[in-house]
Amino acid sequence: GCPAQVVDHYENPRNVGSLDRNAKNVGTGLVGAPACGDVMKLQVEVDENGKIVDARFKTFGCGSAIASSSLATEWVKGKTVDEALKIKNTDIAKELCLPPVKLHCSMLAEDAIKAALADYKLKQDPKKEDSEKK
Amino acid sequence: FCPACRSLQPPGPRPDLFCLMACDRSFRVDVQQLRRRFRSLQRALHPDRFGQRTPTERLYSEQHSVLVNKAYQTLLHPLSRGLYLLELNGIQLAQETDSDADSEFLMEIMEINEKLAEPNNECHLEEIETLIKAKQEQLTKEVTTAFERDDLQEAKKVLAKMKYFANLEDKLRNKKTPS
Repeated sequence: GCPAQVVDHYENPRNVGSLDRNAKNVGTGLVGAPACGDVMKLQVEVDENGKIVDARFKTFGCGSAIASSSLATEWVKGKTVDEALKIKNTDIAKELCLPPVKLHCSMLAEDAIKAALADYKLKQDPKKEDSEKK
Repeated sequence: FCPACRSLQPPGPRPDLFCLMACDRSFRVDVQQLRRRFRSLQRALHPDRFGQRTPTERLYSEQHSVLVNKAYQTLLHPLSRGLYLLELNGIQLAQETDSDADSEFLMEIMEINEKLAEPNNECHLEEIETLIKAKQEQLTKEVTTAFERDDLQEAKKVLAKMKYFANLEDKLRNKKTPS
């Protein structure tokens, strides 16, 4: 059921750790939420076919933020980059039965996925870097 | 207190904490003066002083006391003081992900968190504490300047950074107290 799954992700988060941020096929997303001071790092390793073969995260913040990022790393594995970009915070929140007050935690996870994939894409096409960076 | 019958009135609906503590609405606060005001207010309003009065007055005194505590704590600490000043100006820290965030800053926060989370790092805790305090002092100076310039957007950015360090400070404190 929902409650059991939620507790599981808090107590036994999956994929905690780091990948080599300097590797060309690794994308790193680092995001923060100012109001609560939570910080989340999510990394993906993508193979030559554009499929995400590994993912890791490190989150310092509330249990909901940790659970959201743990779930996010599970979900991106096996997806292509474009498929992973479709993951929405509402899906994460629903899966974890997050209360409304913790919805921003699932948004943080969605933003971390997007940031990691954006970083990966940038590394594949350095020419884009100058025109796309702010 | 009601001027006519001298009975205690309830606190107003949306009290201005600066006004309550007789401080100018400014980031610069005279802490000694704040403390004196706190003590004198508590002396006058503390529930213990209303033991002989009506239940209504006792209730009001409790409400006042809670409010005075809240005002004192809010204005005493730079982070809460700054956030309250922003709130009075209709500004809040973003609940959502900060897309403007300085990635170098976030990396620094990550690194300190990782160091704190390491097992058996008791010998490093003092080092980490010194680092955190130094950063907080620096940020407090920056936010003071921002408020003096009336640059509320800059103040908001700095206060967000201070929030991350406040969390680190809490985590450090938890680590130091033996469980």
